[in-house]
Amino acid sequence: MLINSWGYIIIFVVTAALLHWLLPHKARKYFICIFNLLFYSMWKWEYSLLLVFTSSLIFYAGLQFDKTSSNKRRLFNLTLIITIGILVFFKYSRHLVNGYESILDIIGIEHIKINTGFILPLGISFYTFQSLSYLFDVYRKEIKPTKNYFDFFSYSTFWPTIIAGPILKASETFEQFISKRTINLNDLSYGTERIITGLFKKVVLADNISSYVNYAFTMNPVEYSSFDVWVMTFLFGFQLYFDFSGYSDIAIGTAQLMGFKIKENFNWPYFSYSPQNFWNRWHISLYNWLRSYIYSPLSISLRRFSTLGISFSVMATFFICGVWHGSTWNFVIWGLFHGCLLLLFSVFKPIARLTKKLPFVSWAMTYVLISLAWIPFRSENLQQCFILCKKIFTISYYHIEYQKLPAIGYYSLILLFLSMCALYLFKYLRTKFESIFAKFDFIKIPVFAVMVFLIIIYLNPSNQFLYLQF
Amino acid sequence: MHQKKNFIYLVSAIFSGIIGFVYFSGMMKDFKPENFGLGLNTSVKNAYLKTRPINSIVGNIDTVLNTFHFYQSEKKEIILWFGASQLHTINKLKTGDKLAVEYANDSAIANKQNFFFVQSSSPNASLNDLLIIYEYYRQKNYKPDWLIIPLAYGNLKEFPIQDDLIKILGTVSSNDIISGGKALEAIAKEKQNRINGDSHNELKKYNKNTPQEYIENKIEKYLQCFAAYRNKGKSQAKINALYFNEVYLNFTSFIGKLHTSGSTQRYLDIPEYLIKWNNEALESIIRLAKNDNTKILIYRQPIRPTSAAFYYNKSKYDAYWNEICKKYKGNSNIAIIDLQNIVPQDYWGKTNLGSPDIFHFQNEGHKILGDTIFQFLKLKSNAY
Repeated sequence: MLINSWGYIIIFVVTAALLHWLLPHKARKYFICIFNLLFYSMWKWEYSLLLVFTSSLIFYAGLQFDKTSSNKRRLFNLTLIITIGILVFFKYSRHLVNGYESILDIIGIEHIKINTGFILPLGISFYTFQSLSYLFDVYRKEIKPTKNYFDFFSYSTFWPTIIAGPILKASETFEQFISKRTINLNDLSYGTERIITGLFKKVVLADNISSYVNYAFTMNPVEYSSFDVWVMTFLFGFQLYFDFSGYSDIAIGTAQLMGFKIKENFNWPYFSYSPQNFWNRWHISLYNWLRSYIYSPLSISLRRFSTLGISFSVMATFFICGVWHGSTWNFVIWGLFHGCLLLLFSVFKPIARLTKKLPFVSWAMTYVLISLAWIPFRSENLQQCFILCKKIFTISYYHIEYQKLPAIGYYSLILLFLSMCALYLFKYLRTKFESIFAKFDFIKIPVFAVMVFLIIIYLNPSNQFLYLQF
Repeated sequence: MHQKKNFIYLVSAIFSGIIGFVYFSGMMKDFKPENFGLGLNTSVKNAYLKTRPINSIVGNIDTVLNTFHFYQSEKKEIILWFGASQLHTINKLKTGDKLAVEYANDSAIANKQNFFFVQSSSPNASLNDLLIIYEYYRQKNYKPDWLIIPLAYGNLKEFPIQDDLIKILGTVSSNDIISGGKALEAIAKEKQNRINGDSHNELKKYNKNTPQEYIENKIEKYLQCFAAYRNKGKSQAKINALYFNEVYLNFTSFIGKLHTSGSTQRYLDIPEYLIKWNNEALESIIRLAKNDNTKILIYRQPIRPTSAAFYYNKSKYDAYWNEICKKYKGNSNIAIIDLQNIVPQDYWGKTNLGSPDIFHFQNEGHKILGDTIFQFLKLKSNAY
């Protein structure tokens, strides 16, 4: 189900939260399981069978780890292969088959066309990683496996996070699905505030920016000036941030209404002073997942190669990060570019020193480089990506006479940027002078009233969250 | 205590937001979103001939088909007039004002000429958009005797094809593609692409034929019972207009003031690939018309006769027009006329920025345009 909709607000926020608290503690996990399935079936019920299968497989493996020690590794590998296999099948088979068929075509071998026209299951990358987190943590004995399938199912398919995260790490959140949860007025207010903020980011900001960005990326890029390319790139950065962090806000808020405390997925990422810092602020749950289950084991096993081993681990992790986002080369380039940036800022000493000595310069550099990486991420294909990059790196295109995109995008970008800086400053001052700001809490009334007003006006469930495609 | 206060604030905010929405939407009852972007005091007008509608805007082509059919059965010579917003808008609209298409019909009646003018226009219509409109008429089997196509240089930059137009088009038959050629084939493909979905439409289809779609439709139907909710689209358009007028335009003028040294005026160029794309569409329209024995009148759209106000590259525009004239001159079923300067300076409006509007004029401008077109066709008709 798509969560920027009236249906979600009525059924899965208001009704679900009310029913959840009306039920006795023991019945709540069954309630969550039913709602998880109901939520997923609102899209295509057939695909919820896949959810049940993946969850059952991992639950069974977890149980077996507790019983046996001799076949533990083999069972772990087998479960991992099957789970990743399902993900690869649905996510990448179309591209793999296309590649295979192109090779046969080039060689001139006749072949039957393979049908790969099935739909990518909604949120498959997210729920697969969330379930795998449980598998890893149980295997590493960081948590004890549960003997109750419903405890596990309520976690692995938790509806607020199932389609676009945050990816819940079992060692950090699984306990909450078992223990008794409570709620107070603060949780209720906080959860509601987060949902309103998330919807505002999505339906008012991201959706309005998207019409301009989509237009810009549909036009022929050959005609653009370098300024046009920067504007569309920065605007896409904002769109993606509002879209994805908006989803995370709604997910965190919905969970909070049922007493769950979910870790933040974003923390002002465009104010990062290094790529390393960016990944501690952008899609935090994915980065934590990759760091815990890919980077750490890999770098430990390669530690005898010192810097080379670490560099390889970073690049491999970000290669997977790129591939996780999508099956095209654009995402591979995006991932590897981020890997390179991380290495550049940590291994290359003059730049590493810059982050400490000149934080403002370091921030500006990071912001520009991170934005540059959005070009392959958003481009329709590699060709468009290369043309746009060429525009950025060719001095002769830096001429205002070549401006082709409507000027409103230029000014909206400046406005967005200034607003973001003002909000960041406000947040800083509020933390510093908490007692003074507490006296002006009533400001919330007009602020949230305007947000609610604009949400009602702009709410349109046909505008999807960008991260649903991953 | 603090918890309670916080909660009360939030509940108050939610209710204030809802009440604000109901109040604002109520105020938007008479707001016409279609007028926004046309300039100061410029409004959309519908045209009638003896109570029958004779102009359609964007995809509402069906509204004029009955009138078309009626006058066809009356054995009138049907003149289908295509165009952009210039044709369906009037600056400083007053009671009794008419559109060019109405004045052309009035002239036809007064001169006892067997003409019937009917108009289909779409804001910022490129020639590809006009090709779609023409193909739509043809698919419905409405074939005019004359087809009028204005060339509006600024609209050549409009890309991609308007979604509202391509949606209404039925499946283009292979016969039509053969007669229409490259541009029509491209449109047929584009339509299919939009149906099948590129990477972005793939996201859209997630919601198609799902239980959620069913639930959303039910909720939407229920919400539509409330007048405030019915005006939601108008409220959205008003806020977009407010953003454009109050934020963007003020910001633009502020930046403009900082730019004191920038005295040289910038002129916009239409990219070559878009000119080619539009030329192919014009060629397709001409091929289809020839196939249907429909004669064509191409005219250079009137613009405000002040070269300083024209923000496109005028020399390139002239070159483009000359090229069109050269290409189609002498073609037996194509007539060409330059109407660039027929509407005097006094009859034009202003843009939202307050600068001279070069595209939309007042009632008098429509009268001049309608009469001129009528007179020209009368001459041509007599010659044929």
